[in-house]
Amino acid sequence: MPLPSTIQTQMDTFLGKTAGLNDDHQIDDIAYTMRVEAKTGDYTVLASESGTVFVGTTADNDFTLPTREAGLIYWFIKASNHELRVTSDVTQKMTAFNDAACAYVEFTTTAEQIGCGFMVYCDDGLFWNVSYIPGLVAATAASA
Amino acid sequence: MPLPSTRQSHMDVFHGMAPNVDDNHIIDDLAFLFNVVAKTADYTCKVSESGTCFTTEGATVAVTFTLPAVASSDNVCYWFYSAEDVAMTIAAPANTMVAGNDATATSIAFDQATQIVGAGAMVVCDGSLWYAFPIRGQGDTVITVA
Repeated sequence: MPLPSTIQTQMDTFLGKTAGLNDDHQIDDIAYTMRVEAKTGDYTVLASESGTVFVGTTADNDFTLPTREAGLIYWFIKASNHELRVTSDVTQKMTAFNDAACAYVEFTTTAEQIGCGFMVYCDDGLFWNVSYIPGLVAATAASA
Repeated sequence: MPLPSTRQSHMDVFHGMAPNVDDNHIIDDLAFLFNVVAKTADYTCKVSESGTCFTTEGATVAVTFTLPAVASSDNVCYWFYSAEDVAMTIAAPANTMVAGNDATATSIAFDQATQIVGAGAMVVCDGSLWYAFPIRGQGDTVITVA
């Protein structure tokens, strides 16, 4: 027997809000948003944090990626004039800047770092693939 | 009266599949898709449009996208894509954008003729600032940060 449309499900919803359909039949309360986390120093990223935008502030940041698992994806951006490095969980399993087997990528040049970032995802071959997102055209990134 | 947990809702779901929660308590069947919306004139983005990819497809004049207030935009994100050779500006509330070696910027603009089509940005907010991830259409695409 169909239930009346006003009956809600027992699912937990975003911030505890009750799910409801808007005029376009979409559930507003579970709209797509991104988790944003600020870090003031080195940090080992967790697999469970896939999809997170990490914002590096205050000091140099070295983000170490978790054990490779296809589909994991992270974003990193620098909000202060300090270095940003993203390091693979193991060496030679990262592709970036025409380098098919590196261990890390980084922005280290003073006065270029704010607004620079990387998008990193793990593919089916268990490589971390890096997209370089320079804040300035000439921002210098490096890999090794 | 609470309903039994095995009872399904009557929501329409992706490809008509019933929602199921996997071992990580994620609903696998609600696949992520973009809401792609073209704008041909200036537009103020809504918090409720988080996750939308705005394009300038069809625009014949410059388009400015205005981002909502930071306090109400925690975790909100948007994508922007320049689809026409007209300037595209993404404007935040004054001094609340991090972009292009500027921690207190207000806007970024793709406004250099012949370098616009194919460029864009993803922006995300932490409740205090908008962070811009520029996507250059070509390696030397110049972005105006103001």
